[in-house]
Amino acid sequence: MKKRRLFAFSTALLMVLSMASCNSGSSVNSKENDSEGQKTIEVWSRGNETDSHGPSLVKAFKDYEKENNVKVKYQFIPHDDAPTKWNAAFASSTAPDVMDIGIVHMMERINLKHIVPLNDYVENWEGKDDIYPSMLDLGTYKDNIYAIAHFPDPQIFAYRKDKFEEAGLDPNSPPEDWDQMLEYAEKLTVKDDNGKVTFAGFTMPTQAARFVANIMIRQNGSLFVDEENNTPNMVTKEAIETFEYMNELHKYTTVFDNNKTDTHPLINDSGAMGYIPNGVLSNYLKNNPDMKDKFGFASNVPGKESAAWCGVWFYTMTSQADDKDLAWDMISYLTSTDVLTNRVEESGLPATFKSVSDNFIEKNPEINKAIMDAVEIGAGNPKVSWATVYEQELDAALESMFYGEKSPEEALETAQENLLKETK
Amino acid sequence: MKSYHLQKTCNKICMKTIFILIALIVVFPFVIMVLTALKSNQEITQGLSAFFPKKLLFSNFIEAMKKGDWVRYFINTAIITVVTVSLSLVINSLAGYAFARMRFRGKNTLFYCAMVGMMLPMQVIMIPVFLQIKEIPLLGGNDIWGNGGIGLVNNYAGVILPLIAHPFGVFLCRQFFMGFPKELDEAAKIDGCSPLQIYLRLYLPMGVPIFATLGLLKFVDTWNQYTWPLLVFNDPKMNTVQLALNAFKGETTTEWNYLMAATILIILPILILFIFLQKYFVQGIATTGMKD
Repeated sequence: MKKRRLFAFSTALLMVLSMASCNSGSSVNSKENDSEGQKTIEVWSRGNETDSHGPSLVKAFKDYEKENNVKVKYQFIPHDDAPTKWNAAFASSTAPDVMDIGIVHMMERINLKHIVPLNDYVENWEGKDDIYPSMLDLGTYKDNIYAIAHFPDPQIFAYRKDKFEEAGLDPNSPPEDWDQMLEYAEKLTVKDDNGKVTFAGFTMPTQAARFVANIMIRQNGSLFVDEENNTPNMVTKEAIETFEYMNELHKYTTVFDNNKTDTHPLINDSGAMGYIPNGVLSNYLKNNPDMKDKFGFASNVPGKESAAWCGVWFYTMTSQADDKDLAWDMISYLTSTDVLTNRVEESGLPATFKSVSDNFIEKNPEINKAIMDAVEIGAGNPKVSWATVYEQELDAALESMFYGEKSPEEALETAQENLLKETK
Repeated sequence: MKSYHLQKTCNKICMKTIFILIALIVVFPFVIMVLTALKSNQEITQGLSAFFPKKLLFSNFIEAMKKGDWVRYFINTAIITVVTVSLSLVINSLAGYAFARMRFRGKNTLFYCAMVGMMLPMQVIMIPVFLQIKEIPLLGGNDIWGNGGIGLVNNYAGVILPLIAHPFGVFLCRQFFMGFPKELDEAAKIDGCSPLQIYLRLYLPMGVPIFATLGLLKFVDTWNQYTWPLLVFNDPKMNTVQLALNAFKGETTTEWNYLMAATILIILPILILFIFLQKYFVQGIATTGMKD
């Protein structure tokens, strides 16, 4: 009986030990230096190894290893799952040294103290004067620079030249201001016998219209949020005007969800003009080269002011980085002119630095000029810790207005009330 | 008499039409998947106007497999799945046998406690389990208190261990074993068999249908695991096939044709296994919970 128990115990122990050893050889702390004193740095980036960012990033890591005798451990994380992965990693103290995050994540990560200020490093950084001020500002919160923008992802204004021509408009001139845009939208819209829009004069999303609202409120010279006092500022004259204008434009659109970019009317031959993420449009034109000449581009159609919405990817240093100097060295390397020029050449992606913007524009002048102009005037979400709730409330307010449930003013008042509850 | 036959024929036709409709609803997503896998990018952006591809692009399968080291991803997934299924069958069937046949204090309380675990989705317990995996003592650079290292993070065992035992497996085996006549156990006891021998000589051979069922369910569950391996692995070389599918998804764009092509290849092992175990699977499900 004793022998049997001993046998069972040994078998169980063997099983556990064999399982414990069945890894790829990285069972020790991933951030420790190896026996030869070679330093190790861990970098997590969103996306994957084969997307437009992947190959040039992997090349940069390999070059960095060669040039600096540092082992780079990198991992790509799917966009949608990144927050889950980060939360688990920070909870268990297994977070990387350098992390790529999006503009929507920044405030949350600052709030959770997952990323640290980089002011001391940025002060002596040679890239400081090269980065677009608007992009440096996007990574700044309360005078602290938390994140270095490396990839801008603005929404640009695109229009169909062929449809402009059919409607008797000048195909080489996008609308110059809001009034003209409304006038064009009406002319370009096609309706069926029942009055239902079959071809959108302006592509105004019914769901997730916050991107357009964020652009237009800035163009109208205001913001929905008072960042300085950390409070919502939804019910203003400018905000009501913006909502009313969007509601007018909504009469000339087909219904679509802006979160599902594949369904955007501009890339489904059912819309004449509107704002669209530059990557979505570029990808569409890559797959449909015959459509290239049919599109015209602009950074935005200004109201009282020029403004564009610009998503941004940032490099950040995590609070769990063991060697902060090394982490900064990696960030400054990844945002160096050489690395970003290589990325522009190989992937055709825009960058946030003036020194590489000419290279980028040269590659495809018409659309890329519009992209870089949008970067220059680009702004993102308000810098408040409740930015996610703000997005939800803004979407809900717009939807309730588009469906005629509430007037622009009522919709804004509801959003204001809900946000005030949230910020209390 | 004639009207009776007519009514019977009508009923049959109605039933068959309903079944065909249900079958079509089930098959339709697969048809879309296959058609998408064979389309060009341009056809995909055209939506319903290009429902059928003009030219069948089988090259999409090859192109999809070129994006990453898929041999390695399949091997990784196979290791995790085979080890998990094997250990899971042993542990769940033994626990199920104990709950079905052995007498011990607190048996029912323990069983109901285990059943409560069935109500908790993995997402709820993911972070606490992850912390446990990270703090396993003496492994992955950890000291005896589980500090200092990464435990079983970035390790196959870290993915496998929490997946092995699941209350559903215990429940399924218990219900199946409860259907066996108690006289069998009594006869074996008279012949001098210990409980373990009864399990090995009687329950194990007679439990093939439930093992096939549980094995298949566990295989599908483990093969399709996504979030848990995503949390545990920090090295692209350890990616499973499900994680590798992300190669076709960007922030705003998706390469649908490659994604669908790779998905078809990924579900092949499950499909083949199901075809082979189908007979046992149906038998196992049909007879679970039946009492003599």
